[in-house]
Amino acid sequence: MRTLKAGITLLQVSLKKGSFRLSADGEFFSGVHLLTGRVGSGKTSLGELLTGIITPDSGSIIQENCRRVMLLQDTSYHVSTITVREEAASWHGDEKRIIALSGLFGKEETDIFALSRGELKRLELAAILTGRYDLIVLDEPYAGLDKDARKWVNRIIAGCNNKVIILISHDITSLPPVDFLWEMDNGTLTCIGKVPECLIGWSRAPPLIRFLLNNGSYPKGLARLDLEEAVCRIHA
Amino acid sequence: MIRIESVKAGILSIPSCLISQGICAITGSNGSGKTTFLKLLSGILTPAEGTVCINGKEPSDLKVGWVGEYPDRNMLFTRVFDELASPLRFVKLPCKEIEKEVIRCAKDLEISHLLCRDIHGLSGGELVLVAFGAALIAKPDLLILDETDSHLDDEFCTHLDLIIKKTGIGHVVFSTHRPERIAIADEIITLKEGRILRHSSLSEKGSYAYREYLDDPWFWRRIYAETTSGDFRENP
Repeated sequence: MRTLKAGITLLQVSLKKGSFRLSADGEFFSGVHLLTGRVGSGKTSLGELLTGIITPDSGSIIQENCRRVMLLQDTSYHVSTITVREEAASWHGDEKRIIALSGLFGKEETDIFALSRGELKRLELAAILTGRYDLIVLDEPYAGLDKDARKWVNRIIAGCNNKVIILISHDITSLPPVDFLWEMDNGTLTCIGKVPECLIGWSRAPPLIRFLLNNGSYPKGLARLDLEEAVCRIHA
Repeated sequence: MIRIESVKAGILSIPSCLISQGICAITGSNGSGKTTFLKLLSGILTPAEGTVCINGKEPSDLKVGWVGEYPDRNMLFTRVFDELASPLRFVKLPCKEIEKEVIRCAKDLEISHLLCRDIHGLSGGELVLVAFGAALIAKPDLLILDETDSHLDDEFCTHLDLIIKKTGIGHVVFSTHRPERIAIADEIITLKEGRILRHSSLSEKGSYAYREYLDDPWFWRRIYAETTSGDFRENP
């Protein structure tokens, strides 16, 4: 059976929270999207809008082939049980696979709150990334994860096809291959463009990207390996 | 000077460790004992065996400021002014002195406009600044940051680094998974399974050879020096 590609479109979406106003237009196609922006710029609110946790004051959000939607928030929001085994089972996926993937084999009966932040994050990420979701928004997926766990997340993301995966992250040194780059600036969503072509026009690029471009080394993408390779070209 | 001798606490087992005055970064995999280490230093946790001594005193006899990954979880009051004032109110300083200190602290952190705001309406970055203020206002001997940077953008982290440098606190110890954040440190302690795997100084270039440029704090110092004007992290 052919798998249909998922997508989500925002049409003149606006949201007001106190004095903060969010406005967003754009199409998120199947693929991996990086959504970045300064603290307080509205990234988390946009993630909540995309996944239907909150509804916009005006405008519309059109989902295409997005039957199952998931948002990774602060991991404590996801916890609904007591032990690791119960928590893995609560996702109604492959319980054993979730535990094995998250590296918690042997800790099945451990109290969920006795896990370190990174361990709990791995458990929730394993459940989300192996679930049959069409649209996945991961809000700060790398927070609390060590280097090996970041690589592990990226391997799973790289294996996801026909899904819309939106990574909300400040941390650009641990990314998987990214297809599209978006930025929130003071409540306004902007599509910077397709990666890597858009990097040269990224006006608020973080120091590493500015450093690479200033030194004439254009990364082939935002994946960790691409960035490391671009740095090596400067030092070669 | 922080002196740790024959300590056993939870997963941690540290025969001996000396940390000089300045900024010390704690790194290590998930579950390696970073938070336990910070809790020991702060006096939140007492070791089952051994001693922790900071400037010749036990941690519980010192003023310690603590800022965590989710600072709002540790906040006691609903108004920013009251949260900043709380450490001074707890030691029963005169009201006029408290007000003066709160206004000065808010001005230093550039959050004067938030003083009358409700904590619950603040953005993630604003919450970190308020938590910072509440930690700094009592002039702590030791400031601890437990993965505080995990949700912060580069510009914001640089702002916090400058504040930390300006305060002149004797000991600042922070845990992080972000290699670029280690560039600010004078010393790095890497933990593995509760033991100190490596304890190196960043005062001399090449004190440790990193396999990847993006893990090398010296490389990040170069990036910041070339992309941030007047950045204190420029090589000494």
